[in-house]
Amino acid sequence: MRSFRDELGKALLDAGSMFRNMVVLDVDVCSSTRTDRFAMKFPDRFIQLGISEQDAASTAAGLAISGKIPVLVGFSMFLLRAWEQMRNTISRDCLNVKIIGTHAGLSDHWDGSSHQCLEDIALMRVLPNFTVVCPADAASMRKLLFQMIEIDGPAYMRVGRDNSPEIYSDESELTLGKAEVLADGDDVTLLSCGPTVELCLRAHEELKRNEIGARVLDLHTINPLDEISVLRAARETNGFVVVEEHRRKGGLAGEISEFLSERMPSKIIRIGVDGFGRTAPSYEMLLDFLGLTVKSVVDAAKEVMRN
Amino acid sequence: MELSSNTGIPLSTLKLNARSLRDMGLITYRDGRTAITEAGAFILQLLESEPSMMSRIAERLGGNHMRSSISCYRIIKAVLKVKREGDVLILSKGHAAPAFYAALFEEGMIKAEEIERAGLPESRLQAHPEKGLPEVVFSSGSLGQGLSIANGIALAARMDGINRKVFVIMGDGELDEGQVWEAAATTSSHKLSNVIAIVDRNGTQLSGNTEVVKQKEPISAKWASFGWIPMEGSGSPEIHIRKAIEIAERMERPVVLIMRS
Repeated sequence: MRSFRDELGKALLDAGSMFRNMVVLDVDVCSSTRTDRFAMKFPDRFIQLGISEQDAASTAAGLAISGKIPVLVGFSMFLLRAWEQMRNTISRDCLNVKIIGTHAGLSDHWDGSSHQCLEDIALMRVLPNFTVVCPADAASMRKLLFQMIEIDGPAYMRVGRDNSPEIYSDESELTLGKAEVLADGDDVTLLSCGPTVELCLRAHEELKRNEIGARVLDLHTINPLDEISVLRAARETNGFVVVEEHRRKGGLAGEISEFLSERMPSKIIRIGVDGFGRTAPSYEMLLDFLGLTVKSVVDAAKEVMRN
Repeated sequence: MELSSNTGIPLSTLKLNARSLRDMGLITYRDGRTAITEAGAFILQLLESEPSMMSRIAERLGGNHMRSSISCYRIIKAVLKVKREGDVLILSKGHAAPAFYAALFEEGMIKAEEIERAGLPESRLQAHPEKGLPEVVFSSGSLGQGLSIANGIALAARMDGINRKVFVIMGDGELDEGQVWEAAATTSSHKLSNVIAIVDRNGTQLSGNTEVVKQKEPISAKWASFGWIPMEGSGSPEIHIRKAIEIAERMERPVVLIMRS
């Protein structure tokens, strides 16, 4: 199993060689986010701001104003302290700032509820101009990261701590803004982003044994939404199970529900977290504890079929 | 009472205004006698001369923030005069928009017709300065963020080997924001002596006297403890700003100028 943050550290190193005006900003978590690799190789393009997320977000804005490509990397939970700075400066002025929130979702199982960020998709997807990305595994993270740095404009990527499933290979072709159909099926759509995509793939196998064809859609880019893929799934299947390591309100399910209620009202069952996370000795145990399981996806898919 | 009923302004507001004028040092009140101070007389003089443009703008922007603009006007003018090609002005206290627009008008950067349409949805002249105007590099309105942005610009300039001064005009009320102090520590930690901070120390914020709302003093000592060289001044901001630049260059440390008015 690959680790999101280890791969992030490597990907940023390579991006640093490709994009000479890229600058990495840290908020005293570089050893945890693995940006310390970048700091070692490019000390002149690494800025340590201490435990000051708001200052860091506005400093990134200043760097972008000056033509740099600032990449601010920190724990997703605490970067949200700077939401207002992201809204009022980075989003409003459409600045070329890249923000990477690590330890997202339930991935930081040891640290408990204070560190487990379940709100970032909700808060970031409502900001105009922001591209919002949530890759399913380390390989797709790398691909999408390069594309995210390449486009001009603000972008937010949420990634887990370690525990990356293996869905894509290094040869996979992914395009920012375009959903991936990972398994075919015309009965129900299992739609997800982040590591829970893998949960959907396992549910797909289980449903196949029950003779239910489940389409698995990896919606790695939440903003801008791949409307065509979502509409096609709404037309061709009986409804959706949306699975995310996020609060059930406002996240990926929120985006899909808002969009489809206008364009093609569909049955949607949301699987995610209500309330807060807990400390757990393993990531899998925490997902089980909170009901993010293959079984709940399968049951929800059957529920969609009953309607 | 009579004034209140004549003007339709509540008595409580008149009392508050009177207290504010006294707190700002614009009037004195002793033994039942009221007098206009030297600063007050100067403000009246300003109102009669060029800032009539400023009050016209303020009116179009909803009539707010006139007090803040009055004290900030001379600082903005001074920075525009002192700054050279490539230097950056950061108006962190965006609510001084009337002063800023008046200053731009006088520099010939915006036209009178545009001023007439200030505050309309389609106008570039919004309640707080937004990107797209001369001398504006970011959209303001939210307090406490200018110094961080200035640090970002100064860090980029250093990477690119550009010698660029970044002037940040902040309000004293704005110093309540925690981010200002996060940023102040960043400036000094990274030895960004090209950042010149100017605090418009007018002693007043939205809810009244700054020391009553939330104590600011000792301002200089606070900045000094964050690694800055504080300078206090009143009178001509231009002279003080030039002095601040000279000290920052010599000491290679950031300088904050606390401009009292």
